[in-house]
Parts: sequence; C-alpha cells; structure tokens
Amino acid sequence: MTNTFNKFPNKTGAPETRTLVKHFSTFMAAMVGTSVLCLAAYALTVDRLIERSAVPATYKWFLLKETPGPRIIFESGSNSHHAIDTDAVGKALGRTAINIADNGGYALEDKLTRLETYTRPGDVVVLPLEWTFYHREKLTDNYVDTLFGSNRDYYHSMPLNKRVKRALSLPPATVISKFISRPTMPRDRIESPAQNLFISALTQPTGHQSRALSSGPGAGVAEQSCDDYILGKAAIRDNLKLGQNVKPALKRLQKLKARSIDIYFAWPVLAGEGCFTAPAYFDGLREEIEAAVNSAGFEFLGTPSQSLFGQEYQDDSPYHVITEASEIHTKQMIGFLRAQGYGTTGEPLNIMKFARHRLLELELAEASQLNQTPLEFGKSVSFDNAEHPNQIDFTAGWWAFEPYGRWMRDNRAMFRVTLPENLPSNTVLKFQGMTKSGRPEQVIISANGDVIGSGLLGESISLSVPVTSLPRGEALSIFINLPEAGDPQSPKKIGESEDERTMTLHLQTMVLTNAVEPQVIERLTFEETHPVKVSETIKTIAVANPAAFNVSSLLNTCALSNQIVSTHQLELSYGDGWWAQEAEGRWMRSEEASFSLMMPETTLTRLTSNYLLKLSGDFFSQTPEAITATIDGRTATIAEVGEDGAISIGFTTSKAGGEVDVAIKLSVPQVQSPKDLGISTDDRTLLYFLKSVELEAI
Amino acid sequence: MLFTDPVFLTKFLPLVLLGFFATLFSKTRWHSQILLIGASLVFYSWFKSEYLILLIGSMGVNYALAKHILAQPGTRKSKQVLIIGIVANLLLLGVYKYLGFLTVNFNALFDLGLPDPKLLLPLAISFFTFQQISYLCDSHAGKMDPASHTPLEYALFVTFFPQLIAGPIVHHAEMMPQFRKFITPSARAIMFCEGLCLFALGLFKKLAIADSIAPYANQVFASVDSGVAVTSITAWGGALAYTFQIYFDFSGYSDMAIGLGLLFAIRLPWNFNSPYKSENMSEFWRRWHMTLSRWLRDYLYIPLGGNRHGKVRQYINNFATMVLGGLWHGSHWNFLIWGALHGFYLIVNQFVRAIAKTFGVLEIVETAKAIRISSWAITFLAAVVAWVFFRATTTSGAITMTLSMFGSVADGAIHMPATLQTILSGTLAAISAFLLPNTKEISALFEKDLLKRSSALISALGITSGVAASAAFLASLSLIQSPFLYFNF
Repeated sequence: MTNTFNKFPNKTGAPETRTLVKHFSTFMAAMVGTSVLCLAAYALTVDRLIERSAVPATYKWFLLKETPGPRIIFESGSNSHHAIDTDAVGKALGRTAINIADNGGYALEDKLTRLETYTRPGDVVVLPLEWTFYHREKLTDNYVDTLFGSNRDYYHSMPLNKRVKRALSLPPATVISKFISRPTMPRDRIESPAQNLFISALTQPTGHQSRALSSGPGAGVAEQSCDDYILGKAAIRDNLKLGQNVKPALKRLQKLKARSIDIYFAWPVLAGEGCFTAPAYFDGLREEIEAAVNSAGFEFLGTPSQSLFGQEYQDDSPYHVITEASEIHTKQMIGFLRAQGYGTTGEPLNIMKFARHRLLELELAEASQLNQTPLEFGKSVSFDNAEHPNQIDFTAGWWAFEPYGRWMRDNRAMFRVTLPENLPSNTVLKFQGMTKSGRPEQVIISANGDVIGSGLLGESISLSVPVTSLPRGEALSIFINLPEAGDPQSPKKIGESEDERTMTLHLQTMVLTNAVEPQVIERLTFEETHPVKVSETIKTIAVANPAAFNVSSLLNTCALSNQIVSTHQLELSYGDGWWAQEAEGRWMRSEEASFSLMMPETTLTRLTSNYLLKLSGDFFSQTPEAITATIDGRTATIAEVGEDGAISIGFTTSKAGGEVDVAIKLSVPQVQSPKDLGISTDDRTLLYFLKSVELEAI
Repeated sequence: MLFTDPVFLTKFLPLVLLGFFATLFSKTRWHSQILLIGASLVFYSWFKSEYLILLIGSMGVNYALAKHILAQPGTRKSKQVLIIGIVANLLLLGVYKYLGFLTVNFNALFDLGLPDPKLLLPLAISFFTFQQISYLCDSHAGKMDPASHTPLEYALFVTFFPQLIAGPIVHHAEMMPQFRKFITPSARAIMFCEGLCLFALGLFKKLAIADSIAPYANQVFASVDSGVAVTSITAWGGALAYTFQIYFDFSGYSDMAIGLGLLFAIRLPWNFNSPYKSENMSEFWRRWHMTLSRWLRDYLYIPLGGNRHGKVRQYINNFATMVLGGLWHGSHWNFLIWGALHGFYLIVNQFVRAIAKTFGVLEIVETAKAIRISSWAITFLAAVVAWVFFRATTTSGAITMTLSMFGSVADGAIHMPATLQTILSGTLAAISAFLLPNTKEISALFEKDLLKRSSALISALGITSGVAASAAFLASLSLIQSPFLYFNF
C-alpha cells in the first residue's frame, strides 16, 4: 500500500503549501464547476427539446387551461376518460364539467402540478386515481417518451425549479435519442396547430369518451387476470406499500384545498372477471390509502366495490368500460356530488362553441415571425400546399390539406404569405374555391388587421382583393371571415358522410394577377364625399367605384332628359331583405327588400323632379303576382314589369342630392330556394336578382 | 443505506465527514475512532437493525478469542482457540448461508422431510467473517503486535462502513497502522481529492453503466430461468450484459468504498484492475475481486499446499480453492459450477503454460501479438460463459442459455431486442473495460508527486470527476436502481 502521507513532510514549506492550496482549489473548482455545468447543460438541452406552443398538445390540456370556471374536473388515468361522462355530469349539476383524465402511467407529481397551476377557486376536483398512482414512484417509459411531444404541457406547466428537476430526471438515453432525432433545421410550422383539438372539441367536447361496444381485450390483457393487470402478480401485489410520494402529494392537495378548490378522491372503475380478489383491495394497500387520504382531510366518494363491473361491461382492459357502464357509473358519481351539495342552478358552458373560437385565438397567438418564400406574380399557388410548402403558412383555422385545396374549419381562418418586392400597380390577389353550403358566401379579407376587400366567393365566383398598397417582403397575416355563413356544419351532421369535421370554405388556389375583371374591386376608399353606412361598409365596397364617375361633370354636359345613371355609377346602400353581393348583383331573400341610393347633385342644373327608376334583373322561379314599391315612404307607381325581369318605377322627388330610400315588395305564392326545387344544394330563399339600377329623369 | 442512496449522499456522509473533521482538532485519536465506529454501526443497522446484535456479538467473541491467542501465539493452546474461532465463524456463516441449501438438498436426496429454516442472510456476514478469520489466523501465526489489539481499533477494522458491506476484504496489516498514523493536512487534502474522484467514478460505473445494462440482463435471465428459450443473439446479449453489469457494479462499489475511505484518510486495498483485459485466467484472478483472491490464496490455497506438492496437487488445490470460492458467494449449485468452471480454466491455463514451457515456447506464447489477442478473447469468452452460471437462478436455465450461446437453440426461442439505452451503455462499458485506463491508474496520478503535476492535469482530473458525478446523478434520478450485486454475498 502506498502511504501518501509519507511523501509530505510534517512541516511543509510555504511554496509547497501554496501549490497544494492551488491544486486543491483547482480540483474542487473543476469538479464542482463541471458538475454544475453538465447538469445545467442537460437541463437546458431537455428544455430546448420539448416543444413550446401556445396551443396545447392535447384537448384535455386545452380544457384544463382554457375553460372558464367554476368547473368540476375529473383527473385520473384512462379509467375515468372512459367511465365519467362529463357531458352528463355538467347537465345534471348545472356546472361545467371537464374530463382531463388521460393515462394511468403518467406521473402523479406532474398531475398535481397541473392542478396547482390551472385550477381556480370554486373548481371541484375529483380524483378517481388508478391503484398504480398510490404505489408507483418512478416515471414510466411511456410518460418519459411522450413528455417531448404530446405531454409537453405537463413539463411547461411546471415552475422553474420543478422543470429543472423533471429535466434532470429524464433518462440520458432518451434525451440523447431525442437530441439525435431532432430536426436539424428549424422548420416553420405550416399547418394549423389546433386541428386535432378541434376534432376533439367536435366529437368529445368535455373530454369524455366511451365505446358503445367492447372492442375486445387489448394487447397483454387476455393473458393475465384482472388483478394481475391492476396490481401485478400475486407476489408483488401482496406486498404493495403506499408509495413514498403519496404523503407529499396529499400535502400539496391540502394547499390546493386552502385555495378554495374542493377535492375528492374516488375509486377507479374496474370491469372483468378475476377483479377484486386480491387482499390488497380490502386491506393492506387499500387501508393504507384510505388512512393516508382521510388523515389528510379528504374523503372518498363511494367504495371500491361500487366501481366494480362485470366482464360484459369491459371494453379492451379492466380499466376501460363500455358506454353502458359509463352511464351507470356517471349517475352514481352525480349522486355522490349531489350529496356533497353540488348541483343547484346554472348552465354548463357550451364547450364546443367556446372551443371553436378559443382554439383559433390560440393558433393566432402561436403564430410567429416567418421567413417565407414570396409568392410569384402570375403563378398560381395551390392551397393543398403540396408544391409550395414554404409559401403559405396555414396559421389558424384550417384542416389538413386535401387534394386541390383545404377546408376552413369555421367562419374565420388565417394564413400567412409574403408578397414579392416588385409588383405591378394594379395587382390583385385572386382566390378560387368553393363553399360547403354550395352557394357563394360573402367573404371579408383583411391583411395585417385592415380590411382590404370583400365579396362573394363560390364554386364559379372568384374573389380578388387589391394588394399593391400592402407591405412587401414580409409575412402578411391574411384573415378570412365569413360573416354570414352561420354555424359550420359537418358532412356527418347533414348526412353526407361520416366525416365529423365542420367545414365552411374550401380554398383551392390563389394567384397574384392584374385587376382586369369588371367585378374586381380595385381599391377601397372611405372618402367623405361617398359616405356609407358603417354597418354596410363591406356590402357597399362591391359597387363603390368613385374614381370612375363624376356626377357633376356628367350632368353638366347632358340634357335634362334621358340622363341615365347606372348602379355602377350610383352609390347604393342595401337594406334588409337581401342576400350577400354576388358578381353580377344581389338576390332578394324575402318578399320585401329595401335599398337607398344617392341622388345626383341637381341643384345647380335645376333638373326636373320626375324620375323613372329602372331595375334590371331576373325573377327566380316565377313572376310575382303583384309588385309594390315605396320611395321615401310614399307609394310609387310601377310603370312596367317585363318578362325579362325589368321593373320600372316612376316617382317624383324634390330632392337635389342626398339619399332616397326605396322599398320593393313582391307577392309570390311561395318563397322557395334552389334546394326546394331540386336545382342545387343552395338552400337560400330567392325571389329577385337585382343586377343594375338606372335612374332616368323624365 | 446504499452509497447511492440520497439519504447517504446528502445527510449521512456530510454529517459524518463534518463530525470527523471536527474530531481532528482533538489531540486523541479515539474521538475520531468512536465517531467512525458509531457511524458504521448506524450505517449497518439502517439495512436491518436485527442483525446489528449479530455483528456486535461476532466482533466481541472474535476480539476475545484473538486476545487469548495473542496472549501466547503459536502455542498449542492458542491453536485450540484458533480452531474454536474458525469453527465458530464458519458455523455462523454456515447456519445463515448454507443450512437452507443443505436442508433442501438432503431432503431431496434422502427424503428426510427436514423443515427449511428459511433464514435471511445477514448483510455482510461473508465479508466480516472472513476478515475476522484472517485476524485470528495471523494472531496465531505471530503476525500481530499484541499491543495493537485494542477494542476500538479492532471494532473499526471490522466495521469501517466504506468496506463493511461488500468489501474490499481488508487485512489488519493494512488497516491497523493507518488508524494510528499521523497524516499531515496536505496529505489529507490530496487524499480527499483522490477520494472524491474515485467516489465519483465509482458512482458513474454503478449508476450510469451497470444499472442501465441491468434491465436487459435481468429480462434475459428471467426468461431463461422461467423456462423460456432465447435465440443465440439474445443469449449472448444477455450474457454480455451481465458480464459488464457485474464488473461495473462491483468495481464501482469498490471504487466508491476506496474513495470513501480516502475521505477519512484511510486507504483501502484495490479490488479490481481491469480484469477483462486479462490474457489468461490466472491473470484474471489477479485482477478480479483481488482482495477475495488474496484471502483465498493466503488462507485456503497455501494452507492446502499450494504448488508445493507437485503439479497434480497444485491443480487439485486450485480447483478446490475455486469451488470453495464459488460457494462463498452463496449456497446454490450454480455458484459451485461457476467455481468449478474457473478451477477448470485455471488448470487448463496452467497445463498449457507447462506444456509451452516444456517445449520452450513460453516466451513466444507470452509475447506474440496474435497469440496474446487470441488468449485475451478466449479468456474473456470463458469468463462470459462462467457468468451465465453465476447469474442464472436455475441450473437448467443456465444450461439452456449456454447451449443457445453455442448454437443449440430450442424450438420457439424468442428474440429480445436490446433498447437504445442498453446498447449505448453496453458500448460505453466495453470501451471502458477494454481500452480506457482504470480507476487504479487514474488514482495513481494523485498518489505520485501531486505537487509536481501541472494545473492542467489537476483540472482534467477535476473535470473528469465532475462529468462522472453529474452523469451518475442524472442516471440515479432516471433509472431504476438495483442494489449492489455483492450485497447478496
């Protein structure tokens, strides 16, 4: 044996002592510093590898984070995901109920953290925890693996100290594997990130899901008894002890309770043969659990045996029950909660409706700066994004691409594109697509928050909006709004197919092109000389073209008689009774409709006060039995009704300039839609299609 | 309490260290000795306090017997006391370790129907029993200074917590003088750094390598022990996994023990010296569990006659020593087979060497690169095969697995793919075991003229220790830790 101490004299010289102190401090500093650095680097690496997003990764997380309170929250593993029908709980107790139960393999500590972070005073939390939560202390492989993806919100919901601890607790092999397989280049997201959440909002709005019929035992279920599956083999389950982490967990729940959040424990459902035979269910582990929970000041709703079902109720594992058992169990749970004093008055939140809007907002919040390839003038870009993945960012409100385009989920959606630097002065962005309703829809298009155009868009009607005044070389946020489309429908709901996605507008292509078509809106101005009603601003855009007409100069040069002013020259404001503007005019939707027009300035030219208002258009399916009109409240004379749909109305007015209100009434035996007549799927009631208006002085 | 237990690392060790450094201000040694004995007894009783009495009783009896022997060493009377002592120690070991085994086997052979005592093996009994037997033997042989036989030093020699549970099996001659040695603060500081470095490396070997390979080895051996046949690749994978697991587990533990000793300025003997770099089985046993090999050599092989009575007798002595060494690990036929295999390996090795010597080619055999590489590969593979019997809990499982390794795969054999973690850790283990310097070599950098070392080297040692400590820390939080394998023996 080497005696180190022999090498050093008892009286070491000063230089030796200095060297020793230096070496000792160098070693200690290097060791401690390296340890701290390594651990910090590791934690930081994990932190960078776990994706961040304003949009939660799962719908359960969305429910927990976003739904307003007070709520009844069911938190557990998959047993409650299937067994607790939160729609029924919410309706029965008149309070929003959400089911955030996800997986029994996830960490209890992290579940508590999310409750601490996202529950609010007044919330009620029910914990039908699987048995494994009471004795398992290590993270499961599945949980660790998904923490980098679908479970990222568990990580991000933690305060810094817990995030560091969780990061350091992840196995190096997993972290190395994730690090190696990470994308080498940062890739901008091009799909709307809330697509899957939107589906969940439509199909399981409160988070609950159960199957009507059993799908048979899943992998590894049939080979073992129910008790083996739940508690492990006899040798293990007979020696199960309460996990070391349970008491700290109960302390955290006590703090949560002190924040006016009611907390109850419950037993998880079990279904199958061979369940509940192990002593652990009756004494041992169960007694330990109950003692710990009760001594912490909490109580169980019901007993384990009340959550036990037969084999016929089992879906694919003893923890998963079919709908029939779910209904029984939910009723029981409602009873327990009523007994605790819940269930007075009130209406649960319509979560489906709430989610539709909130998910879009989250997608918008998620949008970040982009470096896109600019669009090219004259080159059509498909909305299926197959050819040009870097040219369109489907920021919010879209389903995944399909051949020829993609559907908007709802009435609002946003995408981002970048315009090229050099564009001709009259460039427009022209959209083509089709609507789910089958009829053209009124579409308002905004860029970076400002309305840039609107109009009808449908299968045979394209829509162009001016873009020359918009910024170039940077990503533009193009927002599409369908103000009149109503609640979106899914093909399943209207009996077309099993597709449960709600859809409104299917955009197919867009192209930067010259404004050459007559119905193209050149630009939008809000000059004071052409006042319009605020509420009708968008509708007016379709007919406003002030640059093309100078009333004064025209009237000065013409004779007093036979001067014609068309709708393209007149300024119209549509009142009630009309459908949205289409390319060549607008349909009356009911028997009565109104509009107002601006009279030309006549005071200087002393025009006569007798006019003929000529409406040209088409009747939908039948010529009306009677037509009446009032102008400025006075009955006007119907001079002529032609078979081609022309209507001439004579009237007298002393107005020189200003607005004239026109109301028309058509009497028809039955108001009908194209769908009623079997022509198309368009279900709008249509009467008269007004194409143009001419004003003739007589 | 394990060395890897957070309670040990964050509470027990810092408190004992603080207390120990406080006692250094005392002018008498016994303050620190009492503190270390007390801490060691607490450490031992943390596992199972019932066996504390057994440990203390064993110490008391052996101390008294040694006192009698030392009163007149080498006499007939002292020999009688020595025999009583050895028998008493072996009886204690036998009752706890082998009674159940013997009962089961006698029942099977003679249908006696004796009840199985089902005694739990007291922790560390094999280690402290062997240490005390050697103490008694050396007392009788006159190798002890009677003046140094004091209760405190004897108790510290037996119980010193870094080596109490699983070795290294210490010899009084290397421990007792250190209890009385004056150590300068500078030497103490260097030993402290060396201790930290070794402890960190040991932690890394145990937590980051051994424990991350263990699940795969456990999975494969659990399958074969339950009668499930595995493919050749799986069998080799499982055997190799265990080969590296046991090395990094036990050598990691030993490094930690030596490192802990150095924190208290006590240098424990080395237990490993890159055994998988060995080129023959004799060398393997000079590099593997060195303190056990030393004990078996000094207190079994040599007393049996060693090589003093011809080749055949030497072979028999070697074989007997290895079989008994195998049984020392536990009362199971597989340990006996493992020992017998190693005995056989040693005989083959010695026989080949003897033949080479006879033909005058021994030097060529020892120096030719191709032969050396072949010898290394054969030695390593022989060790791997032997480990199958050491690890398997059933003899039939071990045989099935060995047959699978050599191509005799049963119908329906299953393949168990290794996880990325196993592959990464296994690769690291292989590189470390075959190519990298071992902890003994790293430790030598501290021992020799540290003051003349460059700051860069000191920094490199610090950085290495820091990386090892942090990697071990990460592994400890994420992996399911398994107890040290040698705690079972």
